[in-house]
Amino acid sequence: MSEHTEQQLRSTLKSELSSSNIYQPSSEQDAIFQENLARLSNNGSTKTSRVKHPWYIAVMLLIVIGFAAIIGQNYIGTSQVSNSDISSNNEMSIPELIAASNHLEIEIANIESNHNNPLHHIEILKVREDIVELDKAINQLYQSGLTSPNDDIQALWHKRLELARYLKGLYTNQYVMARI
Amino acid sequence: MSFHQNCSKKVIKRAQSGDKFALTQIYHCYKQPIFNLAFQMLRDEHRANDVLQTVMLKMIDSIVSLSDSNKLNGWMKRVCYNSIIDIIRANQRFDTVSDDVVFDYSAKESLSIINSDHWDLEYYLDVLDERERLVVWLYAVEGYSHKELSKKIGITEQNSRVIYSRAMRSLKQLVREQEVTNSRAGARNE
Repeated sequence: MSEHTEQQLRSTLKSELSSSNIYQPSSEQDAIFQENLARLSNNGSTKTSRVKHPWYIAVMLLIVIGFAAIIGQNYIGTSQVSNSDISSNNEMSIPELIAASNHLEIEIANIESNHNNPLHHIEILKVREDIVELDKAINQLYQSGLTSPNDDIQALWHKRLELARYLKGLYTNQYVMARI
Repeated sequence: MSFHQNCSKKVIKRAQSGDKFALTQIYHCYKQPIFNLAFQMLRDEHRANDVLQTVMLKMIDSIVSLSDSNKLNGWMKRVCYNSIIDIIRANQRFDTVSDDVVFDYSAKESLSIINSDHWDLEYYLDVLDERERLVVWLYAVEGYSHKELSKKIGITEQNSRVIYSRAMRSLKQLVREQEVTNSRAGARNE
């Protein structure tokens, strides 16, 4: 077997495999990670220390306020929260928010499989797009090198939970259509 | 999706001191490459999720021992591969191929198949078994030699070559199946 052909095969395989489909984990895995992290820290495996850099927090706060304003503006007056729904008050911790958000996503997925009302279809797509944008913002915030702005992350997760709840409402007709 | 992530030294340092937020940042940096690699190898979402969480637990547990923050990318990738190897090893033995088996395949023929219209990468990866996918990936993408591969997986060098040659011979299977499918479609059209 020619060494040259073998090398050629190897590099062709490399370029093919490197450009193969990219698969991503579901957001459910984020909640599982948070659970594991909380469990380990309860067992004393991790220590927490918090040092805040005021300028960094200020920048992040601006980003969060910006996001909250843009996305929140779209949903003012739209939510008629069902009593049976999951509460998303600001006292919920990040893992709780993630878990609640994922719980709603599972419910939405179940509803989606039986959903055949085309009336809200465009609105549903818009909300889903906003959720995707929020997910991107959350990921960017996590990856931005910030040290400890838990409040900012919490605000984004809080907003995400609200949107997920709104989305569920669109499917179950629990919300008044009053998008501004 | 590459393991070349840019987690800052500060974040790594904070993670080493047990900062949950920093640990979460590292999780978000690496969750995609880890899951993607695991899924490519195992072709199973549940087991890929298991790999993701296993690697992250190891990261939380062992990041304190990471001496150089520049090595985090390589370290995460190594832990990921090792977790995948552990899962494959738990399912099937690597060394089921006798050292006497001849390994041969035509690199030229393999190349022509990859460059042909029959080539379907996702289908090819589905056709291979886990051992073959792992060996092909480590050999072609990561650039391991069969000697290095044998040490990594814990098999003989000969065994590594045999597994690789089987993977290459599976390419022919793709062509045969495509031809059968095409001829059936042609017969139906007639």
